[in-house]
Formats: sequence, C-alpha cells, structure tokens
Amino acid sequence: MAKKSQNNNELRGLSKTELLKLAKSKKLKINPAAKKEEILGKLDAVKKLEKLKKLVQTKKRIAGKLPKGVPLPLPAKSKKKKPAKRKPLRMALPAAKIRRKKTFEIPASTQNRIPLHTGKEEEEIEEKKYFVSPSGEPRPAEPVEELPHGYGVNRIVLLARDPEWLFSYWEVTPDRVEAARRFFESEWGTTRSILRVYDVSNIKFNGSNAHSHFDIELSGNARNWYIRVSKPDCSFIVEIGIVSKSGKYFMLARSNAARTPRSRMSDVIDEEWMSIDFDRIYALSGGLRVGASSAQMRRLIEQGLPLGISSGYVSSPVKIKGRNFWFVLDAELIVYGATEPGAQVKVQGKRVKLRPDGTFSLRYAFTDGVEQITAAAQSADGIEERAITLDVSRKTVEKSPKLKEGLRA
Amino acid sequence: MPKGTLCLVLHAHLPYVRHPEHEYFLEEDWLFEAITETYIPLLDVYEGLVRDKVPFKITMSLTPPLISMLTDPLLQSRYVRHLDKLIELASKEIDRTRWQKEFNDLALMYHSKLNQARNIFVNQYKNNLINGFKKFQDLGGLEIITCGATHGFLPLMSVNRNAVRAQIQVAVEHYEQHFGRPPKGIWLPECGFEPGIDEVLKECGIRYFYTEAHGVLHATPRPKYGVYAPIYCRSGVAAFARDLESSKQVWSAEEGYPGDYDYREFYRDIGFDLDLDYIKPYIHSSGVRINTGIKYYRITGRTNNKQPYNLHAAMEKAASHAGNFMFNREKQIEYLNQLLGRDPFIVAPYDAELFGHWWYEGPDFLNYFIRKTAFDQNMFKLGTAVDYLQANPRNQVATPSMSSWGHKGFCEVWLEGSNDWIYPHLHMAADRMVQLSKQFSGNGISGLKKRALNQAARELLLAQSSDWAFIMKTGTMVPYAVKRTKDHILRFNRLYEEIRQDKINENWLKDVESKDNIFPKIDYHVYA
Repeated sequence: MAKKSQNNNELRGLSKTELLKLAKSKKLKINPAAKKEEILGKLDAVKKLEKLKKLVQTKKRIAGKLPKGVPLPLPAKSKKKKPAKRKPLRMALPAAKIRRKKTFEIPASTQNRIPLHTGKEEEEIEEKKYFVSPSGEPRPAEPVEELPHGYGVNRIVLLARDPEWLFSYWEVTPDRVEAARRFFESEWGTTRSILRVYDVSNIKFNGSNAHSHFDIELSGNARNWYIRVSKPDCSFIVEIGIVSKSGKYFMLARSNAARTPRSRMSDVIDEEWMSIDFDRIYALSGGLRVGASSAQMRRLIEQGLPLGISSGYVSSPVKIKGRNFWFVLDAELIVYGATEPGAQVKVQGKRVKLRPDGTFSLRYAFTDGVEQITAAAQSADGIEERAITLDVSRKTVEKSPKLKEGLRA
Repeated sequence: MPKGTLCLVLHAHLPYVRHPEHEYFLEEDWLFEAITETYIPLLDVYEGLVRDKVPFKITMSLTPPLISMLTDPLLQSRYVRHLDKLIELASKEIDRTRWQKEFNDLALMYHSKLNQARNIFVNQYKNNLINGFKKFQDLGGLEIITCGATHGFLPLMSVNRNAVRAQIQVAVEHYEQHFGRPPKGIWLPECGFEPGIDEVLKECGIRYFYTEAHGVLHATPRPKYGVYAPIYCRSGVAAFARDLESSKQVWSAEEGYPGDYDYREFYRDIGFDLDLDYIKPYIHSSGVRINTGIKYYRITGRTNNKQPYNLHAAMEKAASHAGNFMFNREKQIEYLNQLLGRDPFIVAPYDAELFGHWWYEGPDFLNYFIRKTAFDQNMFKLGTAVDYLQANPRNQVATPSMSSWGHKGFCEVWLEGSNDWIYPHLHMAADRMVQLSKQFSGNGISGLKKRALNQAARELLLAQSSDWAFIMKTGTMVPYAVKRTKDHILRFNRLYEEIRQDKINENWLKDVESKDNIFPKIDYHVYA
C-alpha cells in the first residue's frame, strides 16, 4: 500500500503536460482541457485494471497447469532467501524471470521445403511411459532446496533451438558492470543494456568482422532471451553489452558460436551421381501420412484392401451435444458369513476358505438379473449340514438427461 | 529373391529411478509396468521365434539407465514383490467376476499371464532380463545397440564437447561390461544429432547411428537415395534415417493400428474403476488411484461407453494388421526398388514401450508380422544396419543436418519456457566436471577424493537425463522431474566445493553413493 501512495505522489508531482503525455502513452482519451485531478483519477483507474488483468492471467496460468477439479493452491509462505544485496545493476537482478514463450510454425510455402514430420503423436505416446495417475503428483511435494541464483562467473551462452530461433542465457558479475561504468563515465545515465547478435557464418570472428548484426533491447531483469533470427544454416555469436545514447558500446560478455540447422534440402548436388526421378523420392521420403503413400499404394487402397481400422464416430448415448457431463453408477455384492472354525463351507458349489475365526466374505460383480446364492456348511466332524439360500436381483434404470428449465439439449 | 530390407528398431529406455530411502516409490512403477507389459512379452516372442526356427533380425537399443535398473538387485526384488501383489489381485478378480463370463475370462487371462511373467522373470532369467536380451543377441536374431549414458540430449550439451564424449564413452564401457563386446551402433537420445557428434562417435568406436528423416534429407550434399540408403558422414560414421511411411502406420493414435476399436483401452484400469475399499491395497498407499495393468475394456469407439475386451477378437485384429503391415512393406519395397534401381533399406524405429505397454497387442502384432514375413512373402527380408554396411561398403558421403525426432523436429521440446532454466546449471556443472578431471588428472588420487570425483560424474550424468526436460514440457509428473534435476545439481555442486576445499564429508558421500549408484565402475577421467 505504501508503494501505491508513493506512486501517486510521484504522479502528483508531475506537471499537467507530463500527465497528458503519460495518459496518451497508455492510450487513454483525455480532453486536454481536463483538470489535473481528473487525469490523475483516470490514470489510477487504468493502473487498477492492469493489476486485475495480471492477477487473472496469473490465475489462468496456474489453473492451466493444474488438472481439473484440483483447487488452486493457496499462496505458499515463501521460504526464499532474500538474494544478497548487490549494487543496483541495470540488468541481471534477481527478480522474476521474463519468459518469452513464442510458438512458431515452419511456413510450408517456401520452395524446396518438405512438410516436416512434427512428431506430435510420438510425443503423446512417449509421455505415457511416465503416466501413473491422471491426477498428477499424488503426494505432497517435498520441500527442495533452491538452486544457486548465479555462479559468480561472467558469461553468456548461445544455443540454437531450430532453423529460426536461438536461445541465450547470461550472468554478468558486478566487477564487469563496474568496468562498464568507468568506461562510460558521465554518459552512464544514458546507457541501456542490449544483446548484439552477429551473423558469423564461415567467419573467424574477431569482434568486428561479422557479416551483419542487430541489437535487441533488454528489459530490466532478463537473464535469458529467445532470439528470432529466421536464418537457417547460419552461425551466430551474441554479446551482451551496454550502449549509450551517443552510440558508444561496451561488451560485457561474448558467447560461443551456435549454428541454426537447415530447414530444407541442400542445393549442393554431387556431380558424380545422376539424378533419379528426384522429386518423387523426396515426396515419398518426407512427411507422408497414412493413406497418402505412393501413388501405387493409393490405388490399391482404393480397391478396398482390408486395413482393419474402423472409422466413423460412435456417439455415446448419454452425452448431450456440446456438454461433457457424465454420471455412472454401479453395484457389487458382498456376501459374508460365519460358522465354527474347521467347518467346510461351499457357496454355489465351490469350496470357500474360512478365516481362522470361522468367518468369510465374498465379493461379486453382477449385472441386471437374478442370482441365486446357495450356501452350505458342514460341521468339522462331518455329521451335520446347514444350508441357506439368498436370492438377489438387480435392475438398472437410467433416466434420460434433464436440463434446467428453459435450456435446450 | 528379396528386393529390399526392413530394419525394425525398438528403442527401450526409462530414466534411472531408484529410491532405496523409500519402501515404496511411485515412479518405480514406470519400470515395473514396462517389464510386465513390454520387456517380458518381447522376450517371450523372441523365445517362440527361436523355438519355432523362424528367422528374424531385429535391432534393439537398451539404454544404460534401463540396463542398470534391470540388473539392480533391489529393483529386481521390488519387481517380484509388485508382481506377487498383482497376482494376488488377479486371483481376487477371478472370484469377484464369477457371475460375469466376459470379465471372468479376462481375469483368468491376466492371472495366467502374470504367472507366466513371473516364471519367465524368476525362473528362466533369474531376475535379470539382460540375460535374456544377451542370449538372443548371441544367437544372432537381435542386434543390441547402445544409447547416451543417461539419455542426455546431445545438441543442447554440445557447448561442452567433453561432456558429449563422456555420455558416449560411459555408455560404451557400460555396454561392454554387460554384453561382453563393444557396441557397433548407437541410438542417439531422441535422435538428437548435430554435425560434430559423429566425430565423437568415431572416437568412441561407434560405426553407425540413426536420425530422423530430415536429418538425412537435409544433408549436404543432397542424398541421392533419400532415406532409403544410409550416408557416411565425413568422419566415416554411417547415418541411417527413419522412414516415415512405415512409422506412421504404427505410431498414429488416430489412423494407426493401435487405435483400432477391438484393442484394449489403456485408460480403463480397475485401479480407477473399482471401489476404493477393495482396490486400496493395490494402488498408491495414500489412496490415490494408479494403473494396475488389469484392464477389462476395449477402445470400442469415440465414446465413454466402453465394451468388454475380447481377447480372441483382438488377436484376430492383430494378425490382420500384421498382414496389412507386411503387404504395405511389400508394395513399398517393390516400388522403390524399381524407382531407385537398387534395394531400398527401410528403417522403422519405435519406442519399445509402445508395444505392450501402450498398445497391449503390440508384441502379438510383432510376433505375427515376423512370422508372416518369414513364410508368407519374398519381397523383402528383415535386416540390421550392420548387415547392410557389410553388404554395401560403398555409400554416398554427406553431412546430416541438426535434427531430432521430438515434436517439431529440432530442440524445442527440451528448450522452452518450462525447462530452459536447467541449462545454466547443467552447462556450469559440465564445465566444472571437466575442470576437476583436468585438475586431478594423475592416477595417484587418494581413495576418498577419487570416490567424490567419480560420484560428481554420476550426479552430472543423472542431471543430464533428457527425460526431466521432456516431463517438464509435457506436464505428466513435473514436480518429480524438477526435484531430480535440483537434487543432482545440488549434490554435484556440494561435491565440487568439498573436493576443491579438500574437506570431503565421508558420511554424506556414502549416503549419496548408495542412492545414486548408477555406473559403479565409472572413472571421472572420461571427462578430461
């Protein structure tokens, strides 16, 4: 709460022009003739809305990771150790990691690209190896010590993820930042931190001989970044650095080289070999689906050869279109009895094992109908016999689904 | 006269999960289920083929963590305990379903199969299934290849070449200890390949590996025969690429064989369906329901109204699918032979656990398929990569491209929002391990320090399992995967500090050695 009023005071301290500028940046429509109080009120409302949105998003994110039916966890008492106080850095502070999650598709329309097999089905089946229970982790999570936040080693590492994306993570040590500060002297206040990505394909990089480079402006506390290069089969090196408004640049760390994979077939064709109906081979080799095999196969399939795979949707009788609600009921029968230990008991003609105290119990599954359970006990000395018969009947009636009044099925 | 070869590859892998500190541990079930539903049935199929003199050639990769678990006495005895409980449950099921013939037949079937499994495990192979796999390799029908030491995803490890080499070298040595000879080929974890990895393979004596289709298709220069013949990397190591046409028929959940309505439904298990009081002794001790492996329903269709499973109908289907698969391969090979002017080599790799565990009738399908291939047709034969290289020593030279058989074909599965945080720690640990192994490179290192160094190597390898990142991404048992990553990194970091300061805590070291006891004969010099 203290933070809020501090911000409010900051806002109050601004001039009306500055407030209008701020409101414009937040895409608020404000009449330039409006009073300062009005503008402050609107900015406050926007801030509240942003906070609410973030909360809903967080809840959604958490909910997305939990299976249905499990309530959202209560915020756990944080046992995190406060990270050691460092001099305030422009980046690499121990705040929340900024994760840039990007989905990406390989566009299929480029020349010479074959549709890649995506491996989705293999992944779905492979993860069944680790399937034990659909409700996820069945026991309370044991507390695990946290991994170190950093290793005190100034470094940046680059990995190629696929033909279009790289991934980089880094750690910048205080002494390196100090060196930067000394380098920039009075300009330090105008500096910002960036990633500089160099294309160094087939070059021995010496710091200035790359084919090209581009900069990415980093946001405050990032410690890693997904970099879109969209250049398959190229080598890259990334540096994390600081650049001033005047364009002076200071490198904090330089990464290893990483090469993006190819995304299409090679243009290099060995001159010794003769081309043998090339395109057909590739069509056959790459990304074929069942039922879209070689032309000859398709014809044969169309002739109606047995494939043994049923098709056609069989709808369940109890589901209403568009709804997932379900309800099942079942019953089993437990028959239990007792006699003198040592006696012999037969149920439906089959011998039953007694517990040491002479009791027994039997469990049966059964469907609708009538069952007759005949039981007989013979005394241990074989002289006397007793018999009891139990008739049970089961009848299941499932009523048709009822919807709340006014709603249609 | 066969006009082509089909190379079936079964990749069997599970991460190293062994928790002596707990009496029962949930994730150990992964291994027990795979043994009961996949490994034992496969060995049974091979046994039948040998007995009936059916010629066959199959390639199997058995990963070092899996081999380690199958040869570990604690896990072996826990498996027998697990199996005995299941047999007890199956007996109860026979009684409980006595009034319902359809279910009773199935209960009898499970009881019989479980007892048979126990017989194979305990009596035939003396609790050690590796005896079985080795036997069939020695008889000639099975070619066993290795994999990364802990199934680490190599393209995301290659910033440290020594770490990549250690994954391969440790695997090769482990293989030799168990099979009596070095491995000829390797299944790269997740088919993760990057140019340069082949040079490491060469250094370790490996002659061939497998890639996803586009690994070879995108090679430079262009491969003349697509995926239908291997290529040699510049280093001389051969790369064999997956054929997607034959794979799809088995892998596809929607269109492939395993989705057939007569086959057993994976998700209807009595562990979930039955009354809690009855099933409680056979599920997780906290009462949370888990798979037992006893399932009574067939897929039936896209409906919740599942019908009872009928073994006979399912077996008929499996036989018919085997016939269909064989027919498709005949046509494919006949066509390709004509097109290419030479015998095509079709590589069809699958996760071994697909057969049996996910697709219950899978091992029967394989059985029928192998027999039909041997006796009902002449268009193709089964073969291994080694056979091919011996018959065709001359092949095109090209550099395969970086690829994997994960979703989207590259590294994204193991490098995205849920799991990218692990790499700063894994890479730092790898760098530190190399540093340690260079620092203590001599042979006169004292007993305690040497133990600590070897244990540090173990912790690094265990942290590098690609399974953890995979699980974090797919979301099945995420807290466990996160815990394993953290545990191993933290143990490594502590060992690193203790070694550097020469203040090794022997009691703690002993405790860690007993828990993370994979690769007993490891030598940390492998990182130098």
